[in-house]
Amino acid sequence: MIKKMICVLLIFMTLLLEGCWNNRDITDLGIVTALGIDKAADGNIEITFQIISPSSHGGSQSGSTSSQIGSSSTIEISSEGADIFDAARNIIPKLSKKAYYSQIQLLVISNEMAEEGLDKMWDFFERDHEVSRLFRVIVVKSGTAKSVLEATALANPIGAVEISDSIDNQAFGKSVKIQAFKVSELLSEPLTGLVTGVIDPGGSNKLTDMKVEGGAVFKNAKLAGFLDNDETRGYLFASDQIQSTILTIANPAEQGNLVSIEVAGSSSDLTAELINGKPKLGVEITAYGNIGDEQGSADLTELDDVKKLESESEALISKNIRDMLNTSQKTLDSDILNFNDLLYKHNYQDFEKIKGDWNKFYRDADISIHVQFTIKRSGIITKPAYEQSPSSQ
Amino acid sequence: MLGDFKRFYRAMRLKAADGNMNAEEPKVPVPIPQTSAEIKTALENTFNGSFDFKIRSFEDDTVLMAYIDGLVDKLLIAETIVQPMMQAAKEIKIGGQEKKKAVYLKTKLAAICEMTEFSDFNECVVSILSGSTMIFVDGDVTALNISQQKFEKRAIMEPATETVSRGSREGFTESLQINTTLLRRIIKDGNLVFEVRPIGRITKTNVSICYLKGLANQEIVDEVRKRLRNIKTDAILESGYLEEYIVDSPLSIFPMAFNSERPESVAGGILDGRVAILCDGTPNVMTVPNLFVDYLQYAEDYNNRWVFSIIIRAVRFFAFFLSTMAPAYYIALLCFHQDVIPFKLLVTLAASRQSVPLSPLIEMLVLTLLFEIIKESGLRISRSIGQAVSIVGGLIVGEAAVQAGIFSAPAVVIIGATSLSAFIISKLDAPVIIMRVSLMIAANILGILGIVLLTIFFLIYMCSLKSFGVPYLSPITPLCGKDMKDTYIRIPLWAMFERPETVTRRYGEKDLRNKRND
Repeated sequence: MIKKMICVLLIFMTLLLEGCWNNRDITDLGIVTALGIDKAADGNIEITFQIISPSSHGGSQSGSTSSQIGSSSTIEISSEGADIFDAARNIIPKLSKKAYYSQIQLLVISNEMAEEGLDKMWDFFERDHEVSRLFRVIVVKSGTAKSVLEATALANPIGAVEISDSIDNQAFGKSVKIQAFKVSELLSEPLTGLVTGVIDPGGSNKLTDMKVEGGAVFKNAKLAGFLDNDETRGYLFASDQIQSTILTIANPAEQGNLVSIEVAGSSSDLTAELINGKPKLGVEITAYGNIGDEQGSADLTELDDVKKLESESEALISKNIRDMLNTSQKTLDSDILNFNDLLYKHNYQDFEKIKGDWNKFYRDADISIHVQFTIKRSGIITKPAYEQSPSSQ
Repeated sequence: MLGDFKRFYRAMRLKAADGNMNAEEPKVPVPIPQTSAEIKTALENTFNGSFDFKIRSFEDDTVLMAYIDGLVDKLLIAETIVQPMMQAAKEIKIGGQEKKKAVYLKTKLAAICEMTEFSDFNECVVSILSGSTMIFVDGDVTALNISQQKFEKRAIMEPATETVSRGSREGFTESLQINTTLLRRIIKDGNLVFEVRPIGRITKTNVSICYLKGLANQEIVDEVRKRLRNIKTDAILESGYLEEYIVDSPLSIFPMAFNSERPESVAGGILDGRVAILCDGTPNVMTVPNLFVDYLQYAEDYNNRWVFSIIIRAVRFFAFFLSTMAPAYYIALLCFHQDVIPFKLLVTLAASRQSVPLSPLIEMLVLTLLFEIIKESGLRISRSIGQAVSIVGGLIVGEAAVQAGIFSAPAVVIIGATSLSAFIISKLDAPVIIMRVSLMIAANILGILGIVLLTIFFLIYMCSLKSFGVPYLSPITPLCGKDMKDTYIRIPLWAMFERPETVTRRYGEKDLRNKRND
């Protein structure tokens, strides 16, 4: 009986010893929404935190029934350190709250830092137990990450949310969204190239002037170069990440006029074979879309015109992909579509032989592109009800 | 220390069940005095000169009629007793000894439905107090008991606490007679048995048990009878008193006997095989054995369409979880697991908590207390100023406190939703509050882990409760597959081919069966 009592007492005591461990008041947390990594002097890293500072809402007048998120603003604080963890702790002298990374939305890396290598700064994000694995990664084309984070946000009081919304909205079709877990996955594959999003400050300090478009290509975790807008679109088509985009092609019925086709969906099929020890790669795209906008007043639902539109679209997509492949093969030398993985899966033994020189083989590889595009609808009208006066161009 | 408490508790229970404690006086029959003068003095001594006790004598005390004014039907007495008595008393006086008997009067007072003879003076007194008229004959040791009660009672109205949108609006009243009538009108079966006994030394309240013979588990009926017989107390004022004496787990926080003011609900229970306990003086009728799922089912479910009933039952189950766990989850998520909260909500919550001086736990506890105060004062307040309470309550807690920065708006919203959903299962108000507060404290100590641990504890506790031998959480555990058709959902009535058997089946056999297989 006594023994039972002691056991029960010990169990209860252990519960009390833990006490309220991990109980944090939310006002003591500095919720980090975005992190910017820059290069500092002496090989140090400079980190910029964008932390939410909720405005004290309580004792306000009755007119403040507006949404409380509208009254939150952000603070940007920078600190230096040898690596990310060091720099993160060095922020304590400047910030009273404890940084809280579980809700981080965005990681901004300056191009200088990216050239040093993504793998050098990635360990912190994998090791820490609290860091969210869903944040988006973008590279600054020219400038510092600090300037991006300190820019004035207009559409949304939190700058990180504004940039994230811009990245998430993939209807543009020319920007890359990649999340941390995917970056971790791709970093562990040395032969594959990584593509992240790009933000271009353009020398402005207003967030609405900064464009999120294009892609940054990494080779062996170091920044190799950038893809421009059309090449990025080709990359998205080929890697089956495209959601929607607008293809502007010539109007087949009227010379000099343009038609805009909205891509509604696409699927991509990559093929890879080794023939005589040389890789033969292929990209096959099946996409469909609608007619969105027309200059001119032709009736584009005529079968011939539709066929012409389709082939024009196919040509445009094909060109984008071809440009992207040229860049990746010749200029950047980085297998961003992950062909090596396909060869590894389908042709393991042969691939093992050429694995060491994969970059060389990829550079000289023969990649065929086949696009099939179908136009499904033309909106709610077939042709404009009015005659357009000829443009003065 | 725990052992000491257990011993103390066991001693108390034994003492309560002990037959010698509060032993009633042995019921030795006291014979009725023979002469009228003696009868008169005996009666006047018993009633101590109360002004409402009346004695009417016929023919110079040949026949005495005793009654209590206000409890008897004076008009009926005048017609059926007094009028023929004028003639009969003369005959008794003139006639010989053989006519000086109460039985002779029985033949004369033919217009009365029920007449019984009593020979015990105490029984006569009790009868008079219950509203009967006693007829004493000079020279006879037996008396005639004529019960023609009529007293003012509340009319049958819609029960105040249980309103329905579809269904009968009759509610039980304070008179046992009317309550049994209401049940008889619903169940027209000879097997519906009503057994009555007076309980309580001073109040002698009539308590009746009611069951369907052949359907209800006879062991349970015998157990109910036995426990009622063992109640030794001065007064039984309400069925709630009975509940405390007879239930299986007297310390449990869950109500162990279902009570209702609607005949429809009680009749439904009787038809399931339950035993109903009616208590004179209260419209609340108890039903045993009691299951936890009874509180999540209403008789109205069967009146509405089955699809709607399924939806409403789901709402009720959800309301139960909301009213116990919502504040705890708010505390746990806000203090421990901020990474689970969606980003935009987190920003809003962080902003709302900026100016609040209290920690989430204290905030929730104070708000719960305030809402309970508002509820209770709304209950007790007189109707004329009842409106003011709701306005003041809403103003104080809702607007002013949030603007003053004492509470945060999300906390008020959560507590409001919690309290509101607690009204759906209003009979469970006690356990819900206890669970809510303890879960809040557990959430503050260990976060979601604390909530889970305490929920497991509560589940184990509920599983250990038994109501007259029937496990409290049947038919969920022990699982009774046949009864699942009416627990979470309600399948259409034409598809319910068998009676539910959780209440009537014999659990002893099943336990034995399991032991043999081990």
